[in-house]
Amino acid sequence: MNREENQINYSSKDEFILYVWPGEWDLPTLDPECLTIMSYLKFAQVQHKVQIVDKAWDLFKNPLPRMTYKQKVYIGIDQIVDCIKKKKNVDLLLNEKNYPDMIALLCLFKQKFIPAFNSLCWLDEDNTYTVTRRAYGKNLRFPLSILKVKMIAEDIRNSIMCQYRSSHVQPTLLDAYIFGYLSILIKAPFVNSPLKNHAVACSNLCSIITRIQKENFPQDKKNLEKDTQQLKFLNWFKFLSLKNWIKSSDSSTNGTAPKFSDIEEWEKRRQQIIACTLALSAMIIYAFAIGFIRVNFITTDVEIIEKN
Amino acid sequence: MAGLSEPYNESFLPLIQKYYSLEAIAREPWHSDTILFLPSKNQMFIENGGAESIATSIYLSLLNLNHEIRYVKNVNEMSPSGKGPLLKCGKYSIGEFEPIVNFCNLKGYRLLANYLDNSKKTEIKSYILLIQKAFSETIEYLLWKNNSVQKVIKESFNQNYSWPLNHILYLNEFYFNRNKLVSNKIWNLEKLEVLEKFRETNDCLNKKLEGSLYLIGNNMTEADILLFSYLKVLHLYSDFDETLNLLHDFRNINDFYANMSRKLQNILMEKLELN
Repeated sequence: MNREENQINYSSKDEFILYVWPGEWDLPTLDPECLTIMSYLKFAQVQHKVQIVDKAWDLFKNPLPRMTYKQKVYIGIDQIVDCIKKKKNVDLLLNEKNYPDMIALLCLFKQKFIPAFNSLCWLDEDNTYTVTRRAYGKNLRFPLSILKVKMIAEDIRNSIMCQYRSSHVQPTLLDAYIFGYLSILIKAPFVNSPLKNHAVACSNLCSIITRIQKENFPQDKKNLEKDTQQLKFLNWFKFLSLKNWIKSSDSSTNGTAPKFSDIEEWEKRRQQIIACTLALSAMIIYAFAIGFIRVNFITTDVEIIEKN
Repeated sequence: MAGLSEPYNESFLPLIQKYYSLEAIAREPWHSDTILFLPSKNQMFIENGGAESIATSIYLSLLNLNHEIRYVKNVNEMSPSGKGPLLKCGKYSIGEFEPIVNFCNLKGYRLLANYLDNSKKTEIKSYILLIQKAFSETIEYLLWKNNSVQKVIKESFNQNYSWPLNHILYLNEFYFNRNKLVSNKIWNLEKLEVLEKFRETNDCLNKKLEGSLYLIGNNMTEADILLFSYLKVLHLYSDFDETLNLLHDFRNINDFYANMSRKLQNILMEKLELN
């Protein structure tokens, strides 16, 4: 079926507005649930507006993903999908036999994969502190970040303690789920991850994810510009560092290193520079305070000079 | 999955890779003194109406694996996974339906459908999970959020345990189930919404059963056994009449139930003394 035929247009008043977490790791958003809903809306060919929430207090107070439509608010995947289904049901495009199979596979995915993924993100200490908490906390200000991230982790721990894309042509809710979770698993730089190794080894899954991302979420130009600026800075920094002079032969081979690790290194360097400047300024202030450094302002009497 | 924390090792295979050698299990023959522990008859009602217990017993009987059924009060405490039914075969004790199925498969005992088509394994597994989720959540909601049923449950605890213990165990069970339903986002829903979800899943199963006797392929699988035992439970207890009324319109499911109960009548009568 032609995708353009399915396009439904609504007046701007009745527009779906979806609120999501900001992006990370080359993805439009860092939260798997938000990514699932974003991709489902794209699959459904429903006209909608994505609003990235970047105010710390809003992120802290209101649960995401959230959608507003006709002055009603829908929170969470289930409510949003129910609301979209009333307008246009993507799953109806499946035939009578494929639909139950899709529901059953979705159930398998929800019950077996999502708990494992959540434990990898939120319960494994190395991953939680180096990747997940940092990514979520970056968008919130200091005291809120700790509280919110703790709340999410607690929710996930509670839910855990208690308890492929399919063969058809049209993408479905299952594909949205698979993209939402697996893309984050593959793109995020987890330190410890038996699951990630497993997912990367599945070439079919990886190709689906790159295809869905290319088709539905092409990278923004602004982000690319920002990345190139960061890379320029990093190159300049590398030029200054001693390692570059000593191992000049190595660096020539490393010149074509992937962009991803470069950005990561840039962040590391930035943190080092901030730490250095902080330490230096603290030392200088201390030196001033104890009187180790003194600045004498010599005032010359202009009038006397003139008289002379 | 080896590095994951404990709750994810719920299915039998990862657990067994951790503690036992797979070859050793496969090599050992089926023990003649195998015992299947089921919750006592007045406790069955609380354990999702005993659907998994019925399914396990039917499964073992269909494979002609000899087992003695013993009703005990504390299956959940005996089981390594914290839930009954419990199979004790030689030195191995395995809890819950799905792990027991995996254990039997490992020993080479399989239903005919598994021999014929190996590619259907994922499909069978996903249907088992779908049926388990839809039915158990609905039944648990009807059991633990209904005041009149709560009185019956309290009564059964009073019968089984003496004074302080009956209250403690009841509250323990109540809060465990409540937390489980809250984390699955079921507890705060209205009854009609829960029943609507249940109806949607059954609509799916009804579509799947269109034009065939069994869910997957032309042979009986574990998913069929599980679906049948949940339907049997809905027929057994009058508290679940509302769910049964929802199923009236689904002709394929009703035909499936009638067909299966005709085939499994002997097993139900002999092993579980159910009509």
